[in-house]
Amino acid sequence: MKFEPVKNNIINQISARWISERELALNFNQVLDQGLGTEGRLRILNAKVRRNISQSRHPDDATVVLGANCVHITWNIESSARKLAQESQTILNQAIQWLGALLQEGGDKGSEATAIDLTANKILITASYGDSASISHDLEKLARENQLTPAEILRRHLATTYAVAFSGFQPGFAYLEPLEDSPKIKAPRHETPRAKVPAGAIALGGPYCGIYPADGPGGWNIIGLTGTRFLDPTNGCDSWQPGDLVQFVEEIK
Amino acid sequence: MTIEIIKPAASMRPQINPMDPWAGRILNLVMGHNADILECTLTGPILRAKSRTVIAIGAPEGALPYPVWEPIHLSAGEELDLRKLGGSSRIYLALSSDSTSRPSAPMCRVATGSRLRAKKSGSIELSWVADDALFSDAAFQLLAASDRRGLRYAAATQVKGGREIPPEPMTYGAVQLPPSGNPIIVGPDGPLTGGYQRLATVACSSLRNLAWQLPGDQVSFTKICRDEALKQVLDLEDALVRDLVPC
Repeated sequence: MKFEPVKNNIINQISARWISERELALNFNQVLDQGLGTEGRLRILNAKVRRNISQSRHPDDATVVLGANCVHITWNIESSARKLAQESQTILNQAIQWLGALLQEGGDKGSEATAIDLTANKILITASYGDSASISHDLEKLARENQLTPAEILRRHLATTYAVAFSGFQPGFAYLEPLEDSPKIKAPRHETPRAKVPAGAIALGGPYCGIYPADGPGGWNIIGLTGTRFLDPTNGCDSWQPGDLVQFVEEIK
Repeated sequence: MTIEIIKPAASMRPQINPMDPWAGRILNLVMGHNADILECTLTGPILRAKSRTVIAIGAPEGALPYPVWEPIHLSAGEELDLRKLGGSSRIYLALSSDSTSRPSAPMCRVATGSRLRAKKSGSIELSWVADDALFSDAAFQLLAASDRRGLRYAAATQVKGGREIPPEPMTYGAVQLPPSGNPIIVGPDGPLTGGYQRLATVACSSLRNLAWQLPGDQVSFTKICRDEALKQVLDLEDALVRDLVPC
């Protein structure tokens, strides 16, 4: 598999803006938007880079959270108000340098970055779908929006190999991104999110698939139900790594 | 513990990620030591003093028939009925952590008129707005489906809904606008990331105000600039030194 090397002017492609008095949004969409596809993006944002970003201890003890194509740094307002008021521009410039270095490391040849290994680390998830899952589901909604039958929506979902892109939303939640050659399903989120989605619900939102780790509010389109969880209850850690492959299999009753 | 809880509040939790980020700090200064702080939602508890003790309550003025943001001395056997909260969804309670603990600093009361004495207001200030025209002149009503994960509002007049975005980090105070046009303010127990567009952020000093809002309350949003939002926070921090009167 071939990848374009990340350009050296990576710093210039990160945009930064304050989205509150204490939260800085660093967007690296431009870095990722180079026609790299799922595999290329996963390479730049490989497990090591994600880990480095997510676990980096910010010198000000600020909280660092990774999104699909951005990082937000949130300062503790009580301890940092004065610094934020006096040094906003310096803080912003330092943050861009920090993120640029991490992304550059991911794009460099010889780094730990690897392409997806299609033969290893495939997680199989057994699930029940539609009416057999005995949950209120959105297969008809998706069928309408895609002008397909509910059965075809399920066929496409089951024919898709997903890659763990990143974590977020709730503890134990993984954003699963379809690999490039997968059949397409459009899955616009609900206009108003449900107040309660049951734990184990398999749902589609935008390009992603995910499994709700716990009961809670959610706006994605529910298609099935599984007993598999991505949170290991024995140690509270995620039981997957970014780049792992996920395949759903329909339970035979 | 010198306090007995005769009847617990509808919801009573230790203050980890509190709705009001300042209540616990203020109450600790009032008590003169690190007290046990409880966040009570919808109702408060009924308390009885097992022996002579001191407690303090954090709530908007007038929410309770007891003084707030100052020490309340209780004699043995005395009861406080905090069940009925007038116009506020929450109160904060500071209880002495240990019957033998001595205050490390003098007990204080928050000066009358200080901004540390929280006020409930229908105006929520935003320190960032993606589009200035977005929330101006619009009124919103807090819905009963709200909790510490998210405060859900209904728009009184139709607001153009937001679009879907690649998932991005959300923090307490992020204002998401789903396609329905009914905004959701992410709460302290809210999602870490989300795919509904974030169109604004509540100013930190206004997070206090969110803590008191009740379902049915009308709110409107006002934009302030980031410098002003930081000034408000620094004012609050200065007040923690300036507005506490030893008693």
